[in-house]
Amino acid sequence: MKIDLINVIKTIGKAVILDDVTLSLESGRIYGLRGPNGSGKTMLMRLVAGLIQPSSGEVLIDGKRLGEEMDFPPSIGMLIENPAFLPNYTGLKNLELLASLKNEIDSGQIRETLTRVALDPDDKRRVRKYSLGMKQRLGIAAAIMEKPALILLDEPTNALDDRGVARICDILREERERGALIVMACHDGEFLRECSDEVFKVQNGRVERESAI
Amino acid sequence: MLRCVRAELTKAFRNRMFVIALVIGLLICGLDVIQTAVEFSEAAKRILSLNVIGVSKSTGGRSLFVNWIAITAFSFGNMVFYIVWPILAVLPYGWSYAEERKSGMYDQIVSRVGRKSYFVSKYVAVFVSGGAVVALPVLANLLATALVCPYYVLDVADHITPITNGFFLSRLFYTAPWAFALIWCCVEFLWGGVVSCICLMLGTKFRHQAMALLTPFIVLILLESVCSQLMGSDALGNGYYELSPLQLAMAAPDSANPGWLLFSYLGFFFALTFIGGYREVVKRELV
Repeated sequence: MKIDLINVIKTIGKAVILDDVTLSLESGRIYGLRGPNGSGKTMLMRLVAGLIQPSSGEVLIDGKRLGEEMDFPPSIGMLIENPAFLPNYTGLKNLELLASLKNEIDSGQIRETLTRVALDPDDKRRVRKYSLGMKQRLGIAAAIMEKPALILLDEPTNALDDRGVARICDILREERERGALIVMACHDGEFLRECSDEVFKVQNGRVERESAI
Repeated sequence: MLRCVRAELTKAFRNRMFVIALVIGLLICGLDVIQTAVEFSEAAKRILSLNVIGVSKSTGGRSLFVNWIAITAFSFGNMVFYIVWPILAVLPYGWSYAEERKSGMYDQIVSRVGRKSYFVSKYVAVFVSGGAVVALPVLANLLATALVCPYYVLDVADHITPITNGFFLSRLFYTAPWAFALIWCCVEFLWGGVVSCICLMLGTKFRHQAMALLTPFIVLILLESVCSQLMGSDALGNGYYELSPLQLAMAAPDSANPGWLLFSYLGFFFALTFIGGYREVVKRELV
């Protein structure tokens, strides 16, 4: 998968959220977005996800214009803003319900994904009883369970302890080896430098390359 | 699309608010049956004390098809249920779209199935769950009242119910009342469905849950007030049509409820909610 953002501008009302962004992203790499609150990181991810359209410019997925030739990237998993689940269902049941929408994976693969993020698939507790960290891991599981070609993670380390952060970093590397294109936004500069192949700095709606491996 | 419809229906029916709304509806309709049973028992005692032999015409007033909640105009259950049903209809799932937008669940679903499938599935689930919590108590009341009251086929000349020429399926009511009652349960289902979808549509605009949940009820109450002013109080049999949607949800409103009027209202609400919701969910960008 290849994603090209070409001269993308996004305005809401009179506010310019993304200002002439041009980026090229490729499969098998992890891209980090760093920047202060309100700098446009989440908006950039929502734009790549197809959830919003640019005010001008274009987003191309493998050469096809997002929003015109396709509504959403064909294979995408995401955790943008807060992990959202049905509070009265167990973690496993939540993922099964989400997975049933595409019917690409079976229950065994869902259980395996839960184990990967250090959650017990047989945990009978409902999600409303989960801690913030458990909800975060469940959100990451939802994003990766269908082995999508594009993974978007907004603040994936939120509410995670050091072991959890290390595990997420390992998972991202495994997903990269599988060939996924991963974009993540994070405040934690150290985590970004450690896990990303390329880090972009987002500030005042402008995106600049900060470092590359 | 079908997979998404199934998932939405699962969410709609396996949620606490659906159970709460259904229990409230069943409770109201159950109390109505108790009232009918008590009244029927007292009437039976009176008749027995008079040593009446045989069944007189006047027992038609005790028929199931007079005492069923959708027809009787003089019971506690009828009065309460036909005021609160717009609230019951929206409770189970009417607010779910707005809730999913707010929580981020919307992103998870639309990225997997697309906006059109999501909206259509959501509409179906909201419609069916809203329709079910209105129609099921009415159906349950019919069956429970049948345990108490005999199901005499009524004679139009008795003038026991307002149903007469010009009313929806009036001929069927006096010839095959069970069929009439079951069809009417389906009409109740449609009313519950379209009203819950008003809430779905409002959820695309309103930020406050209470406002979206209560607005259909308030609008219907206002319409009821306006319509009763327009129609006057003595409209029975004078050729006036019932205009209030709250009244039209009853099988025997004060004035005529011909099929064309009934389905024009339902069609209008369906078109309004589907097109309005579609424009907001599918066409409009949500930031």
